[in-house]
Amino acid sequence: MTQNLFYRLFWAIVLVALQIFVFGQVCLFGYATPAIYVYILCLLPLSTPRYAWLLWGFFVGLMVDMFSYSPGLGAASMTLTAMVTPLLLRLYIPKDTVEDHIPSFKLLSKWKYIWFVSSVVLFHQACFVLLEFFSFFRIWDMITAFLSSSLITIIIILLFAKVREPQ
Amino acid sequence: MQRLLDFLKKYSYWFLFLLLEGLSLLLLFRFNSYQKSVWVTSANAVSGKILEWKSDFSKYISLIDINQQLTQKNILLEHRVQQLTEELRKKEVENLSVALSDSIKGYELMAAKVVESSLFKKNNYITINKGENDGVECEMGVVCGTGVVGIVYATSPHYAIVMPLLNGKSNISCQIRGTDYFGYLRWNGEHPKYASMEDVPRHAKIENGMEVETSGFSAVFPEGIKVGEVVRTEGSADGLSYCLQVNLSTDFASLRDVYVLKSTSHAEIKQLHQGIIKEK
Repeated sequence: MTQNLFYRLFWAIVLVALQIFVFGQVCLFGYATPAIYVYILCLLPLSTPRYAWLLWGFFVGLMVDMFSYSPGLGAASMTLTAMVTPLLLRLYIPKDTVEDHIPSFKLLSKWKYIWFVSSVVLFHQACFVLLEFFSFFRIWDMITAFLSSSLITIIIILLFAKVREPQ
Repeated sequence: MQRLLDFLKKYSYWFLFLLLEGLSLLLLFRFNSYQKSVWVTSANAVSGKILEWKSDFSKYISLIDINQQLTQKNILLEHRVQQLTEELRKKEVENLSVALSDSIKGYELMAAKVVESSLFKKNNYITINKGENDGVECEMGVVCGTGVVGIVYATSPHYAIVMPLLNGKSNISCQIRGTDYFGYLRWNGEHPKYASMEDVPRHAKIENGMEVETSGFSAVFPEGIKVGEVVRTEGSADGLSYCLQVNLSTDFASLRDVYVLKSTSHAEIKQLHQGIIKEK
């Protein structure tokens, strides 16, 4: 349990640092900014208590906010995503698996894992973009930002997952 | 009651969710104005420091680019300097011709560069980069921005040798500005800064600081081109005339750009001279 905590803490720091120093600086085509810190929510097993999901989400989001001039934006979207992720995970995880394993390609099967990551990222990006733009006024900008950022984030996170889980 | 507690326990995370989400939204909307968000954004000490490191690091990384840019800029500026120097030189010629326009009427100015020169020999010579092909001929006058330089002594197709004032054989007719007293400027081979003006009549009233200029008695130099200033008055060896020490206004040590004076009547006068020699 403690080992897992440190493992996640390590990942949280790595993700936040990468987000602040590398990916937060990226703005591809004027829209797409990857938000890779959402990967921390893909590292929690289904058996994690719900409040722990929320706390992880909230604090990682808050850390990113502190360095990117957007107080509350990351925290709000991450808390929302943290609320939904266990439900998404339950959709994809096979019924007979042990619940305290970290989701992975192996645990979920390749395509299900990709779907799981994609839905988490899409949900997070949807919250993030909606809160950021906070109106439907610039609808096309919003959709472009949402789709491009999601795509790039999914790709990066899947690469991370690949690195984390050598086959 | 028990069921209520169970219910609360089971769904306690909802309260946490509402709390955290509320907090986030509070941050998002309340602190969206910059001033109030100081404690949670980069203005606080820790993130400020880290961002500073980050900025330092990225600055260091981009040094190569900056260096390249600077080098390019340097080349550009170097180029510009060259262009401007060229412009300046042209302007100088114009200015000179404006300043000397009165005295220089009937003369053409041709810019030339000093290729080689000596200072400390008994007979010094200067080589310039204009020659016969450019229209330079023997016995043309050579001046610079500050005064007289000398007379063209020999020419080749592309170069010419000038006999400057600093030559034992040099002998230029001069006068004291504002008077009619004239004499010959010669160099005794001692100091490249001073020459002596000889054959000045003894009754002339000479004061130190008077300006010496060309007299215009020959077609080589027009009247009124500055040569230097009188610094000392001495009697000549035979006691019949004054010998004036003249501080030359031309700095031969730093001479780079000169102008050849091309008299429009030069050819005519030369022809005349040759005619007289033939007759003899």
